[in-house]
Amino acid sequence: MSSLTEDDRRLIEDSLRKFVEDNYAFDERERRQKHNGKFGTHWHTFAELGWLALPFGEEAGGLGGGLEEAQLMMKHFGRGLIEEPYLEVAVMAGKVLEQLGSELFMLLIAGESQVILAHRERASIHSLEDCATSAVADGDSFILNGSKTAVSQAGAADYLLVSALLDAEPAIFQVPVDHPSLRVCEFPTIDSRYAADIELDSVVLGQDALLARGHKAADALRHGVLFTLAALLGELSGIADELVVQTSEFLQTREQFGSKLFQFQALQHKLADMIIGAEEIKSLAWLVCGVITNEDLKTREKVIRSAKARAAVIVRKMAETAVQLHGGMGVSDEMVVSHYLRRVVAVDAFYGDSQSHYSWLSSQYASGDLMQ
Amino acid sequence: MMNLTPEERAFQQEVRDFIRENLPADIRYKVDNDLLLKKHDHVRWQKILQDNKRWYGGSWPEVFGGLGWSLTKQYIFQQENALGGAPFIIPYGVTMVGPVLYTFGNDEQKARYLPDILDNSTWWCQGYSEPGAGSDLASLRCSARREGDEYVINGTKMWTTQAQYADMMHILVRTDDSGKKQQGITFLLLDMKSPGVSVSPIITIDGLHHTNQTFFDEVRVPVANRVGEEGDGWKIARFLLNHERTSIADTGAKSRAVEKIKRRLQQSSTEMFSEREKMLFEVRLAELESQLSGLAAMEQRVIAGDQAGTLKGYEPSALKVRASELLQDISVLITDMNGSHKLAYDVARVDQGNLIKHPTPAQLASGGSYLYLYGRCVSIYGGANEVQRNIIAKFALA
Repeated sequence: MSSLTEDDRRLIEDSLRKFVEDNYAFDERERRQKHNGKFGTHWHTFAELGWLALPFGEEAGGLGGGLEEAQLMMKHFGRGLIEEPYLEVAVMAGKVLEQLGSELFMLLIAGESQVILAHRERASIHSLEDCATSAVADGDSFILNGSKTAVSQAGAADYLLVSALLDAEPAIFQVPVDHPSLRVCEFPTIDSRYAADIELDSVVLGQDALLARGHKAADALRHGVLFTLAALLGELSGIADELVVQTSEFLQTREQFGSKLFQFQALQHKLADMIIGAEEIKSLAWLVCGVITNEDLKTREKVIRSAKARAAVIVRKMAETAVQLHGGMGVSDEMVVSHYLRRVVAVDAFYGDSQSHYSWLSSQYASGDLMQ
Repeated sequence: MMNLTPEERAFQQEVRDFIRENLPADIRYKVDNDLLLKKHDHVRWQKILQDNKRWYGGSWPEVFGGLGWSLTKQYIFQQENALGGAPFIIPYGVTMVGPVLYTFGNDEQKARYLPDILDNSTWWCQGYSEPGAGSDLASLRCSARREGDEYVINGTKMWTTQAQYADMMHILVRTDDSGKKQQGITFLLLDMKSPGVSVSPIITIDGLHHTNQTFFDEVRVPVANRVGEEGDGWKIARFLLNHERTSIADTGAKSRAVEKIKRRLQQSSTEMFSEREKMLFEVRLAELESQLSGLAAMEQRVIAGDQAGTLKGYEPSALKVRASELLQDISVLITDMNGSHKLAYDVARVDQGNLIKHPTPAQLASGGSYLYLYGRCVSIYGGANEVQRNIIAKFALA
């Protein structure tokens, strides 16, 4: 839970908003993408401003924030379509490492190491900690075999956190991304970023590569994924708000048939549905902040998965509507709404798209537990 | 999720326990089977609440006989009342005219009407809409001309729900048509036994008699029955709409419907649905439940925003749209699960609501058909969803 106050959050938000406005103008996006190196141009600034340490407990070396702060960061990064792998590194890998008390955590929050979780596999995610990649102890070393799928921003990493089954128990290993037996096949994604499919072909690792096993590893993976899905609601909320702003501005500016577009009721009603959607996303973001520390793990998982699925469905619909309402302009690469739509599709796909979460949620009905 | 204080949590438990122990079985049966609740069902339950706990008027200030509940407590009560399978509270008296009277009424009006609302001895209905003034309420034309100490009413009101049961009507009438249409509207309290009042049933799409058209032919109402000044009617009508904010989404009833669907799926045999159908229904339910969870979160944030005074104004409209559409979607799933009996609609069964030991599949399915048909009303009454969307868009385009 966050130990920061509303005032702390307001200060952070002010500097965050300003930073995004000053450094991430939409029309300079292409130039930025060309210049982004492995670490992104601003990564060290993120570290200096404390953003990489923000959503972590003070006892772990963080600044005492929690999910609220992770959502806040993602909200503004979402609005600005910021490509730096904040979600993947600081939120997701950071949350896993924080729970493991690994040295790598201190390097991560200092901005000196970019770590990315390579957990997801092809056989979609039914149980959050499941994986099929195998780890076998061999004398003083471990040998990993398997494949990880659609690891977002893997190309930015210097270390991967790889989940694997060791003696039929989940385990987490740190693997340097330049390991010779690791095959990283990068592919471009719909949101103009990169992800990678990763093959582990007898990856030999030393004892110190094993960060956790058993319950500790399973808990870290489950909580890391859920925390990240919950933080994504911040990004979706930022995008949702911006879609409403951009679309209402456009409707008030553009003229057709001798009238401003906003005077057409059909368009007003579509805009109204977008506003309702933005309101619902804010509410879902608020909802998950309340359950992230819920001790009933099943409830926590259900609420967060349901919220992420629902939010992805709504924002996608909103972005499609925004593109539609912008008419021909909406489908041009020049308009930011078209990029929001592309980003939202990628967010939906991240760690279980809406369909796979609904599928999991529906499977829970059979197990017989009803709401209180 | 809403953080409740220990006291609120204890209250929640108390309401839950009370309903479990005191809700009459025949009323619970009707709610559980989606059958029509009659006036006597509502009155019986509302009296039980009031006589034992004073919960029926819990939201009223203490000085008027209420318990001065916070919005959170009102919300808890409404949720638990619905989750426990109790009838919803009929709003026309306790939620609508009561607050109008203690806010705008004079001492005599308060003394005369408030106690009778609380003990359910006076049944109220609402005369707002007209044939030419539905969602565009300000266009209302039902007129009242002043003659000495009386107003004389002529005209008609539509959708006067429960007017067939009512002792009194709170009515919006036009006392002046010279200015803007929102001006010149006045709020009166009308005795339904007055000469010249006639109530004509309107049978709705579900084949049932919920609502009416009421006609007024030279109906005389004492000026003493006017609430506020002449021309204050629009202001009072707006106050009423704001007063409904916290109850508009009514997620408790929807949660109960969702739980019922879950139970049906769990108890279903392969004779009812194939495995594949069952999976399809489960996925649809998961989607609807995620919508319900979003709606409930919106509802709680609106209540918190209302308490903190931070609402922008369009939020209740957003709730209304989402809540009504979700209820309709839930009712479609319920009827789809009735399979080949989805076409069944035994209106007499729904109307009479008797306990039947071994209901036929058609009798069972009739409740779902009723829910579906009646569900078409909810996106229309209280301001059609299209009007709500106009309101919402106006905020962004202002």
